[in-house]
Amino acid sequence: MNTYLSASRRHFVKSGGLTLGAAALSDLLAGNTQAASHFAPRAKHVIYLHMIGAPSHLDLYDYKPELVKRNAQLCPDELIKGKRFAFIGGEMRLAGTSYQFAKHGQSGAEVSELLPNFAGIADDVCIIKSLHTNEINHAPAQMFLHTGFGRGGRPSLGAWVTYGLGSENQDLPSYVVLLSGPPGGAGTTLWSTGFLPSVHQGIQFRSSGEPVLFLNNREGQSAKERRRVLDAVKALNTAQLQAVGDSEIATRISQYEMAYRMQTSVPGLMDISQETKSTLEMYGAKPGAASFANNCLLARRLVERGVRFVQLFDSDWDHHGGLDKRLRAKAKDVDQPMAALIRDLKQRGLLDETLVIWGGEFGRTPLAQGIDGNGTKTTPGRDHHKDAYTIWMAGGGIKGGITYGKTDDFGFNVAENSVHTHDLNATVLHLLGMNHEKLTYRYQGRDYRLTDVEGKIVHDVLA
Amino acid sequence: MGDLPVSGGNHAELNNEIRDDMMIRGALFCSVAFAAGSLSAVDFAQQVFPVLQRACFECHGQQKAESDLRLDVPAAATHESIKSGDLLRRIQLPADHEDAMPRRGNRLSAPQVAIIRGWIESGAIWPSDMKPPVHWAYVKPRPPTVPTTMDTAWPRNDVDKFILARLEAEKMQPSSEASPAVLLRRLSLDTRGLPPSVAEVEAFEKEYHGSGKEAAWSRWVDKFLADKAFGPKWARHWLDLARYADSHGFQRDDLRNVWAFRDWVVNALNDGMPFDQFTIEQVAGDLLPNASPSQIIATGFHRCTPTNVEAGTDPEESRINQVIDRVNTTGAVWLGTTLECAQCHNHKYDPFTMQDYYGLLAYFNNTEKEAERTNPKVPGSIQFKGSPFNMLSKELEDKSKALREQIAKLEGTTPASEATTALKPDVFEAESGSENTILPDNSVLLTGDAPDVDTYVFEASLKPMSMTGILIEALADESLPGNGPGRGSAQRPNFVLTDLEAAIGQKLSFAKAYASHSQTNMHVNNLLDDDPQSAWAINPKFGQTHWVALELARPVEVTAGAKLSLRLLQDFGGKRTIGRLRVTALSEPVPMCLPEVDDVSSKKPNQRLAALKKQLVALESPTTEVMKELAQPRMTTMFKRGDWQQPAEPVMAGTPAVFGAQANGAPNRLTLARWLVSEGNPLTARVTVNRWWAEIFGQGIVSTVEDFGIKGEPPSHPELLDFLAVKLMRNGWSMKTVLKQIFESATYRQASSIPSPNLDPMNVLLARGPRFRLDAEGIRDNALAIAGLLSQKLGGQSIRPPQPDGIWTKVGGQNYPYNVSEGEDKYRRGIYVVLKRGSPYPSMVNFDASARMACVVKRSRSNTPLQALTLLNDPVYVEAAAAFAQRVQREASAMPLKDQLRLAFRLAVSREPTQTELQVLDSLYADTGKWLSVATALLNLDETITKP
Repeated sequence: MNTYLSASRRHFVKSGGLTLGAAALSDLLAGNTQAASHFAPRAKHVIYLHMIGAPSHLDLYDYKPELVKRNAQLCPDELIKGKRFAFIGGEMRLAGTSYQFAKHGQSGAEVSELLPNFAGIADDVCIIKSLHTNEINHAPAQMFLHTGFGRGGRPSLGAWVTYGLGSENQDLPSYVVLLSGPPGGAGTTLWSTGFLPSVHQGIQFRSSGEPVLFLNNREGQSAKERRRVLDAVKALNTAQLQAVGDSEIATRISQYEMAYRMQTSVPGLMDISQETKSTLEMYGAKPGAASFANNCLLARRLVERGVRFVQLFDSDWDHHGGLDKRLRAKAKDVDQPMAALIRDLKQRGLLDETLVIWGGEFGRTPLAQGIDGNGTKTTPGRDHHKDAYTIWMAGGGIKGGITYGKTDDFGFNVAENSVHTHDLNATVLHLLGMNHEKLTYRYQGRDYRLTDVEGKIVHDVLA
Repeated sequence: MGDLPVSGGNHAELNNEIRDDMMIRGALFCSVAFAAGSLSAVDFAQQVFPVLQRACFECHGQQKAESDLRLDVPAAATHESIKSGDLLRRIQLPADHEDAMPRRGNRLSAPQVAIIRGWIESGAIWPSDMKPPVHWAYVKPRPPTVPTTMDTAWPRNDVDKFILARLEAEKMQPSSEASPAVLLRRLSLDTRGLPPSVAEVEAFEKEYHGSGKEAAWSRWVDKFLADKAFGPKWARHWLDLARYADSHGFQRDDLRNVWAFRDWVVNALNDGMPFDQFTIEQVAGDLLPNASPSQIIATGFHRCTPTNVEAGTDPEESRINQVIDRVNTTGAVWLGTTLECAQCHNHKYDPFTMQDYYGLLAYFNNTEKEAERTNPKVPGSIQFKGSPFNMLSKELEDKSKALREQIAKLEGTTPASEATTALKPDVFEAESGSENTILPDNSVLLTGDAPDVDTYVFEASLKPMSMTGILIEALADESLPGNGPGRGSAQRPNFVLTDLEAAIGQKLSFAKAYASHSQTNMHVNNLLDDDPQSAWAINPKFGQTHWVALELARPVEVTAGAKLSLRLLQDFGGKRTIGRLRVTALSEPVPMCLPEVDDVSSKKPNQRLAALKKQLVALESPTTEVMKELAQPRMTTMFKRGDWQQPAEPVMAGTPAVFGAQANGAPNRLTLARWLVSEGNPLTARVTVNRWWAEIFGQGIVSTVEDFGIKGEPPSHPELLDFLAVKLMRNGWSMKTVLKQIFESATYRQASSIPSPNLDPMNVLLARGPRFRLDAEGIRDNALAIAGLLSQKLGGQSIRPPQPDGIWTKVGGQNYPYNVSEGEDKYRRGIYVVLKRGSPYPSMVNFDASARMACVVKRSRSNTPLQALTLLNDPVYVEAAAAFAQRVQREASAMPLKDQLRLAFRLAVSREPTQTELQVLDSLYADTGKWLSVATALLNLDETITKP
């Protein structure tokens, strides 16, 4: 996909997929697709692992001995002056981690004991400890991270990517969403197209029921009969195309054919029982289950088939209380599969062209929370924290085995090499061969961008 | 899918080139003067300056002078980049060249480049007496001269003269008229959003060929414009602008009632309410003198704004975000302008400053806060409180009055009746931290995630009485799984009350327990012992209200100010906790107070009273969200960089300076509303007629329907736009008058087939009729109508047609079961389908419907494989196909097969099939032997989902 953006292609990108002229029609019917990069991409695919609710960076990646030392002491005033918190107030006490951290791999990345498998791939990943965002509550922060705007109505990262690059696959959508647990607070907004045409929306593949909504033929209709109906539809649409000459009809004809192909390709893709026992064990995946492990394995299968953007959402990371019990359980859910995903992509030669991102919508406070939203006492937890948190990236043009950015001694603020969520998105688009300032869509009188009017590429993390 | 057979969406780009070329062709014609070097100030101002303004000022203007180059000042003329030819070179480079200019927005067209070249080559003079022209859209529309055309036979009315004059200038011919069947289908879809019936088509064909087609057409235009289906059709479009939905949006995406506003829109459109009144009532109906309920309900327009009530949100932040949304929406809907840039800085190319923005914001800054903390000290306690308006109908009011009288009478004769009044909790706490709401009947509803175990602490003040016992009700509730009363699963909404402690100062002891029902092994008597293992539960009688009445060993004399405190332990596990409860202190013999049955004829006065009160509660009138002005207006300030946490200098309410004189009147929304539809505002009428034009022809006369600013597209037919705008204003702002003029034009009646070669791919010049896909709601309505299933019932609560399981997954807030509407309700029109912003109706999303988190001026029109799957397999469309198949058999079983097929085809697309088409259907039926196959094929045709 090294085709650079020609004038006509950029024209196409800018205009958001408008009706193709007659010249493009034959291409279209033949199903030819072409990418429209601004320059040579480093990654062809993205697998984005989003932990809904925001994991505690301080208990997983960002070890702060000073915080541990001063655990339960009153927080110094200068740290909290002018800060906003979602829930905590009054007397604020520091909360050090209760987990052991150790250095791993050649790179010596510090990782919590809760992530033993992840520790094993430390040399493949780039840990960014200086991410920060603008929003302090879940739904706005999820929207801000994924769409660049905290109040909804804008396209998500995946929609922008498919809008910019199109698809590599004739039989599958280019933007697929997999959920373990309920969706984030922002609902389907997180994978919607906003104002882009609905062709760019994320398509949710489901672990139970129909793998894609409305994929299965109605009960009682044989495959043969369905084909016969489709042939009649095609014949009538073709007659109308000849009579009216509207290329929109030609497009419709080809979309019915793609829908037909999806009916075979999607169920095949979702059937992980075709995988070897050792692969299933590596991920901890179980055919028929609905789990993050299964979804990681599916993500690899999707990428293998040329799907451009795979978005996983895993729920229940919002640990205001009961942190110890709940974080342990969540870390156990994701540690093995996410490490397996990196190893598996690597052994299949896919990691170089696949960008993997892991993170949440914000981080958690270095301050203890002991009451919930109604003022009731709970077992210890942490509140929302937007000013500094950790994510990691791997593969697709990312420099492995490095840690980028630093927080202060308390993990409160960024101390070095800050990375805003707009910078992260600019960098992701850059790795895919797109200039975030040029990937625009004109809507309601304005050229919109994923990164709004901000965004700097983080060159230091690029391989 | 990302496969590139993508179409639809934003057509602006291709249009641009055609439009620019065409716009400038005229300009070039009169710009020969350039070469001679005699450029006048007028030429510069009218030709060169607008090109620079549109293409360059965003980056090389007052706000941002990139590379130290400003092209908006006279000094530009002597700048190195112009003298050296660099600018001329760069505007001619291919778009992907690193140096190409402009970086943002569209490339310059060849004629525009020629203008710049002409200017530079003639010495790049910036005349000192140059006055920048006022952008066309900010000049008041005036009635234009209607052009004369060479062909005088084709035009049916003035609209056609504008269209034809342009076509003649371009040496193009209009298309011939479409066939009567196609015409009537087009008109029916444009007026009613529904296909015509076969009988209507036949009747029209007869009149068309018989009594004179002009009169016939005119009659049918009137007839369809008067149809009550007009409201729902045109409301869809307006409700997108109003971002109407049935839920808050964001994480706590609870449902709310604003549907009365939706009904108001439908009624206003059907009643032909003048657009100026339509505007004033929606923006400020509440502020009109002696505002009627209907005028207040209209202000729901700006209460459709999403509300963020996620726990932990700052209520002031939520409020400010809503006010900002109201300003931006007002700008988009009435001014055709994107104002939001001016929230953070003066607009870079349109003449709107931050001062203007916050001046508008001040009008909207004085309504009630709709989300607030229930406990100011607890940051997480934000709750939606709304700003509801009570809509009591006459009928309800009468019933309610009768009930109140009965109750009052009974209460008069039953002094002890107060004994049955439920206690209003002073304190209610769920120790798990579960959220709760106190409902108007004093019951407590638990919300949010259900914990495994819980303990409720309840405290309420008592009136002086001789207390005989207490009644605790575990109430069924729609928001609970399986209707409750427990909070576990829908299959087993049981609760297990393990222990109950009660005290008034000191612990109370009970002698006897009565209950609605006791589960085997979990008898209500278990509440009387101190054994923590024993408990009361209600398996298997789920989904209904239960109660326990506890009789005191001896009555307790309660003095004023005494407090009853209760502690309800529910530590069985598995979420077996009570979802909604209510406590009553009893002062009559307990057996007399048992809420056995809802029997208004009960012998026991208390029961009778309880039953009556229940009826009264059930009568509770619906509410709708409206705007309510504060008695004391807030002070509005600018925000530094648009950040609400950084207030700057105070601002007075006012309209943007570019429009000259300020709006007259008190600084409130009513003044703004009146200004929006006043003579002083050059935009509203233009923007409005342009949006209607776009709905009908697929694109506006200004193709950027949402942007009439400097970077928006210039109108393809500027005089026609002004003609229609003036027509609207001079005809009492009557929408139907303008639509009638359009529908009666020959332009509208042209066939839509595309000529070869196709010189005008986007149909800018309208040498043919419109042809494009129906919108999401229209596709569903159309299929249901063809199938004979459609219900045209208007108004009321939103409906829930079938959708796949698991769409309404709860995240925050309440859990709502998705119960499919019963009877005709599930077949009602698309605008009535419930819209929960976090999980919109999936089959409509597949056809570009919006979740309406923000104002949508223009929907995309995509063409995707998921649309194919939806029409083929969504149970709604499968059911429609089956009903369609049955309908044909029912209505045409006596006919020969060919005639049956012909009828089916006409039901789907109105016109007669060709021989080839009939043959395809015939062989499909022969091969599959099923009418269902034929019906499915017909509902899936491109033509069926397209306005022809």
